[in-house]
Amino acid sequence: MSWFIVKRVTSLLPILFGISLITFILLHLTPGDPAAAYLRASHIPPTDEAVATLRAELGLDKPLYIQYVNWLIKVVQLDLGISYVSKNSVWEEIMLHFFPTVQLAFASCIFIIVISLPIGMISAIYRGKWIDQFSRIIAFVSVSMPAFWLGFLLIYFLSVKLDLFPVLGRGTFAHLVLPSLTLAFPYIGTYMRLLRTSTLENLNEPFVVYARARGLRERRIVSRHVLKKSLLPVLTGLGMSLGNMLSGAVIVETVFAWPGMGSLFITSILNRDYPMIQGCLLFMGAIFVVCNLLVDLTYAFLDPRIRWEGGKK
Amino acid sequence: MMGQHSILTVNNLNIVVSTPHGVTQTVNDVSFELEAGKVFGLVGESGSGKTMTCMSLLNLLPDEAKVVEGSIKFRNKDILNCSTEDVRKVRGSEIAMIMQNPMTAFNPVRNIGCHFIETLRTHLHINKHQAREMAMAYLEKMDLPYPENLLKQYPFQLSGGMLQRVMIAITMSLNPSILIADEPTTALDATNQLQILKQLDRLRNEYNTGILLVSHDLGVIAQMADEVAVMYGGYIVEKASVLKLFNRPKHPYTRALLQSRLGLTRRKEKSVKRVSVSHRNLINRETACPFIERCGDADHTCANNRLELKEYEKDHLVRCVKLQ
Repeated sequence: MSWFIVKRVTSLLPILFGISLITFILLHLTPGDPAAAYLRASHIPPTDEAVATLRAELGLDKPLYIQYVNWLIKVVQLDLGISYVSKNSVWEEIMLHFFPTVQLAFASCIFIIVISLPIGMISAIYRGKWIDQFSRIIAFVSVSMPAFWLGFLLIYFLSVKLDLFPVLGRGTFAHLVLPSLTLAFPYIGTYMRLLRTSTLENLNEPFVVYARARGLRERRIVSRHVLKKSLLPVLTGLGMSLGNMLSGAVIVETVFAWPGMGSLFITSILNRDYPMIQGCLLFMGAIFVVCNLLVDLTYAFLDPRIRWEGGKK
Repeated sequence: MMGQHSILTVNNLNIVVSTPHGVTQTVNDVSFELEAGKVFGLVGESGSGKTMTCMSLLNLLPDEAKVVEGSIKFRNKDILNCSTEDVRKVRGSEIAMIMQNPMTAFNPVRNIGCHFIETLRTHLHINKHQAREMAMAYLEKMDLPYPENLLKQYPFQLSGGMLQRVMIAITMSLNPSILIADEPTTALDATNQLQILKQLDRLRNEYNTGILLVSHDLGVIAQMADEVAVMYGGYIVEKASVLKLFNRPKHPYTRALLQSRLGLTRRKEKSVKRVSVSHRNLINRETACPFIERCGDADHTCANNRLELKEYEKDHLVRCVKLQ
């Protein structure tokens, strides 16, 4: 198992390197001059002379590959540069916004798991019964409802009319409920159906017949045999979704004025805050990669076949 | 024939399966008995209703299949009509089953120990440690090496033959009075087949278990069974002791089946002929013999006479109009 982890972690390094290269190149391919953007952000008129001085100062006059190497050396030391707008360290800004996003993402994950797993399992077991039909409707609504609309509906009914939760912002535990529910809602339908499908598949497997033939209780067959195997495809998806949510839920964060990664990223794009954009992109890429790693590890934990494949030399 | 010692009695069993193309009768009027320490062989080609019959004995038919008539009595207990919980208690501990393909019968994400221990603990009031000790003892009895390691291993790490022996070990540990072995050797190679048959034989001799052995391998049946029933198209077409059936087969299908075996001396292969019956549209599906289209001896009497399993001679039942 430890060999498996080492193998997976080392395979991440080239991926991270690739991400850094692509984000750097993409950003330098986009139109607009970083130096001019810097001057505008600092409220200095971007005259040709001022731009040229600044370019030299920021190292933007050097060839692209030297710029990249210089940037990479700093990145390795966790120095992502200084924001053009706030003049703070990019790394610190990201950390400041990342924690609220983590909070939101994990709360959403809890909603997803708590709601979609039981309904998914039950609708597979009682296939075709009213509960299955009902779950189909929920799934349909959940995947087709836009997040901003749902967000406003929740605010209107639960906050304004019933006064159960605060409308906006971040603070107490109650502030977390509406945004995370909004963020989780589209995923709930997806995972409900995904789990239902994989459970149905597994319920017809010979190992379930054999488990019944051995006289096991139905509850045990479902909870110990079917659930564990059915969770595998769900888990892959959930890891990807977690990466998605951690790299910022722009719409939900905007609707609920949640100070997370999404709003940081959007603001920095609007301000053409190049170091910040680059830092955010790299950070989000790294988050995705780490989430995938976690999925792989959980996968190996759940499915011995993968564990052994990795363990053999 | 109606043995005093019969443990399991199947009477007039009829099973229908609903398919997208309509309802089909897969098992027709099947009756037999299982006795302690005896092996009852069930032979027939794919789709003849063998597996459906087996599954119904544990009330484990798939959702689309249903028993419409008949009864299954296990020691005065009506399997088809007792509560789910009562049947569950019988499964594994009283009537055990060995699956056709050992590679898919175990859950790939749980190890052998999990399977073994949970089965023991479902039926016996013992703790995990006792169950583990017991499992190791039975694996050892099955000549499986290093039982302690084996318990930690996952199904994909073992061969089909080993998994089949694990299944027999699980069966043995609960000492059931009936074992249903649905093609236990089909998925295995010749060496492993022999091993498995030996272990089944042991189960019968040492534990006095009554075995329902399903196979399409006549060699296996000849070697193991005391009594044999041949199934065709959902019917038992012939039932007799193993000697009578192999030496003096009466039903045309049984005869064809026995002829189709490859002999060492026979050069030419004989196979079941497909004979088209003239006046095909005269065949009354309700009453016609299921073998009519492939039978060399068939004529109009076969199409219109009600089929019944009749005693041809003592302890030798045949379902053929021509022989009655």
